[in-house]
Amino acid sequence: MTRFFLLLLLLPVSTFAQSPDSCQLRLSGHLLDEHDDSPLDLATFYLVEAGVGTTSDSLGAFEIPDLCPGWHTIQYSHIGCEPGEVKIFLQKDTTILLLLEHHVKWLQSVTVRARRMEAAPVQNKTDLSGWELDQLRGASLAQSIASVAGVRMLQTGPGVAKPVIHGLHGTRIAIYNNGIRQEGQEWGVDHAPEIDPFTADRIRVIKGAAALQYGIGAIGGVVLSEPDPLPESPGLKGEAMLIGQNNGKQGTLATKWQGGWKKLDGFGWRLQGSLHRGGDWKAPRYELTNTGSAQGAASIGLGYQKGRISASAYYSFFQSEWAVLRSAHIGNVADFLEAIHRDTPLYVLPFSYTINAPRQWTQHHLVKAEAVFRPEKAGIWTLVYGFQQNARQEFDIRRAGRTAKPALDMDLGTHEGTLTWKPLHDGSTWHTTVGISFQYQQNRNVAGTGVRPLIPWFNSTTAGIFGIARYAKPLWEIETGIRMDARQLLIKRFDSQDHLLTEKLPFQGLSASIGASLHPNHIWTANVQAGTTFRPPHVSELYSEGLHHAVASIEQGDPTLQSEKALKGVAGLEFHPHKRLNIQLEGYYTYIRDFIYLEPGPEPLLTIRGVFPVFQYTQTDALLWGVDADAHWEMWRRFSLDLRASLLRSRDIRQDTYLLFMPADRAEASLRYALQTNKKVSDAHLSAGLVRTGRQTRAPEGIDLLPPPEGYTLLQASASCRLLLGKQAVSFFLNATNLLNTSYRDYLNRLRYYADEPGRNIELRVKLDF
Amino acid sequence: MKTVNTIFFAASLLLAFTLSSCNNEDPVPVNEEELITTLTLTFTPIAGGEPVVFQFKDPDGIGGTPAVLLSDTLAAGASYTGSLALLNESVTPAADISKEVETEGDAHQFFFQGSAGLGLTFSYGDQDVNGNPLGLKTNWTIGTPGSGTLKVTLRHEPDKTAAGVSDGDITLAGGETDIEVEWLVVIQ
Repeated sequence: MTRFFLLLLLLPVSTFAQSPDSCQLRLSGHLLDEHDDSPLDLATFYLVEAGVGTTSDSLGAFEIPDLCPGWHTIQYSHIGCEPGEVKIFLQKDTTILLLLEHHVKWLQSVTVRARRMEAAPVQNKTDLSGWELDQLRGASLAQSIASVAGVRMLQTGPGVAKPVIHGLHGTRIAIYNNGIRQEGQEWGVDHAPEIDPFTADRIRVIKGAAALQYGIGAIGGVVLSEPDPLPESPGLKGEAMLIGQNNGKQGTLATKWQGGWKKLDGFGWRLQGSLHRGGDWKAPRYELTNTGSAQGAASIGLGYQKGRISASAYYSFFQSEWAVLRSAHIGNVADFLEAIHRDTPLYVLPFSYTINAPRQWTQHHLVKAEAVFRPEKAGIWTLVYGFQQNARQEFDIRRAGRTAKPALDMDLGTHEGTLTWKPLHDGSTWHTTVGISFQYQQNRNVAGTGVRPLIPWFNSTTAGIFGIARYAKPLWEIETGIRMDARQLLIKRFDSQDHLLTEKLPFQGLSASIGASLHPNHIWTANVQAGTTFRPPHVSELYSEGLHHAVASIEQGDPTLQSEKALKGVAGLEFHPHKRLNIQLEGYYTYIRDFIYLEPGPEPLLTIRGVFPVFQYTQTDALLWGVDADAHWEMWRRFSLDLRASLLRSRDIRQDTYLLFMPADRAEASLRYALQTNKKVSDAHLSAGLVRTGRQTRAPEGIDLLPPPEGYTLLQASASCRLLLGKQAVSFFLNATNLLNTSYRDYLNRLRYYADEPGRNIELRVKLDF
Repeated sequence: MKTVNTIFFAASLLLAFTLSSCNNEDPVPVNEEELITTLTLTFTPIAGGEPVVFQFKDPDGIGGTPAVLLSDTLAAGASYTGSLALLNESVTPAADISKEVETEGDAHQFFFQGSAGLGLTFSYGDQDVNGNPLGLKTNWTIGTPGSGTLKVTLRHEPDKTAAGVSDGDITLAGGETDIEVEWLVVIQ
């Protein structure tokens, strides 16, 4: 369900004392597009209690005089935004700033889901909580968005998940953490994004093509994980969340505090942190020995806004350690074949919190500084700088005490800077953005592993320039953009005789997009978009060479690989005949020329561990197309029904076969009952749902040693409510997945060769707002 | 309060550059410490005479120069003592991997499998600290003439107490395979 209205911020900009008794209060304010601060004109405002209304002028301004003190419900609507309402307590003349997530529907990026975010701490005590996101708290980033139609996850056991958008993952999608592109070792299928999901107050998935402001390579789509804007006025606010899960006996503690400073108007801060510990997960029939995890994260944000300048600084720290299923550690093809035919995994031991080898450890630092300058008549200038340091160590079961030594130890450092300019077009329907971006990245292998590194030493320098123009009329709009990027890779590696080889590889390309949106009335919305972009091959695809233990095969890179060129078209239709029904359909078609994939080599290789199949990175032309559907129906009284389905088809055009590891079709239905609420109890819901994932019958033959697993159906249920205990608001969430304790395996889990998926998991979350 | 901003900005930049060690030095080659480049199975006739040698050799590990297998002929009806030697010859001087395996004898076991009908019988000639077989030393009795294959497997962390494992039956051994080498064998 798309939520177009998304009220981001409601905050008094200025207040003037006034006698509270008289009905002479004035409410005024501005309505701006949250995305680019452009005024939203012709929006209607209606104050329910007072029975008066108005519309915003060309500057997005509105004013309603002669109001009585007390609670007022403001209902607002604007073309392109779903109507919404806020409650405000008037004591004195008040000016408010309403930022609407207007562009969600209009921009070239086809946003399918924007989650409602937590309201900023405001004096008027308007409560617009991120209830939907709160219900997913504690899950990883990939798990949180896996409920979006068209989005799935690629897993390595229960704890490691990467998002898959329209069948693509890894370096083919971009994940933004607080406005900075996440740069970890994302080429690895077992490398989950190093992001603390508790930092996000809003997670957005963009499934469209060539979302140009988000850089290169994101053929599949973009995920934005964003915190709330920092507060700009004093007032301490905090929250704490405690999560317990029975499967894996897991516990999570998270807290967040934010406020301003009386002595400095416009200054705001936020501190946030989380801790997690989990033990071995359990499949219905056995323990998943060695699947525990430990995670800790913290962040601090500081911001200051005055007049035409605002500046902010952000630092986040993330560290995680997790165990990889012991039974998935194998030595050669014979072991692999033995493992896939075993009914119960080889190592099943009693529950434990211990994280043994094979295990992985990562640490991620992110520093961000942002400055926004709005000079008079000269548009909006934004400068963003980000620095990331990503360390990753992987530990294997080794001989002679080397298990304590990482077998893989990499350090990835990334600097990036972006400057954008949005010129002002007074009273015009034109909106434009131009920008330049720069990125420098270096990958270093830390000495002392005693194992040849999987990917070599490299430096990567990327520069880009882009421009986006949008022409918006009330009932329709078009947007087009163009982007140019160039990347240079400097690689230093050793051949088998340990001779140092230095290579320079240049890549450059053009991205472009055009899209249109039509909104003839409140019932129908249609949009179409087409874009072309490219993705330079990753160093892992160019130079990796070595044994891939988990799947008993040798992978070889190819330094002659070219960039992938993609063309994606998306068409969406939304039908919203009345308040109680909303249907969305989206179709997409992606053509990727020179799609990079692993092809089985002709000759297996003889090693001391026996004969291994060889897979070589090579290129083909690929086609991915599919349909995502999403419907919400408030069918009867307090009952509502949600239906969601995603279908994907793929084709390797040159080989005339299917693509490997593409998500199977999925459909889900959930029924929800909203309980009666009162002053003490709010947001009370009960829901139950079924998720059906089909068997992937469209997989190439003879490559995967185990055919795709059977389809499966899972039952899940949840209950939630918010209680007011005295003055303290406490929210409870009870959530159960795989309620029937079904044994199943998922095609997109790399450990499906070795063990079943986890069984029933019951999760209780308690959230306190201060 | 521009000063405050400047301080934040400068501090974050400083932090950024402290964290990133902008090193542009050349990488150093890595010695594959656990690589086993050479495996030699030597059959020494109990009755005296020239030893019979079977060898696997892949001096640069996976990729690069292809691996080479050397096999030999065993005498029908003869008895031999077998000894295994594992070397990593990619480093200088060559590392003796057999010693590593011997030290962690309780976490390793070699298995020897002749192809069906081939007249090869063996027994373990050494033990780990727990008194379970290891397999660096073996005793062999050769049967009637014929030809087939001989496979040597080294399992890391096997279950040595599982049925048949101490007699050299790999079926229930489990663990991971560190070595699996198969030669053609002729018995004359």
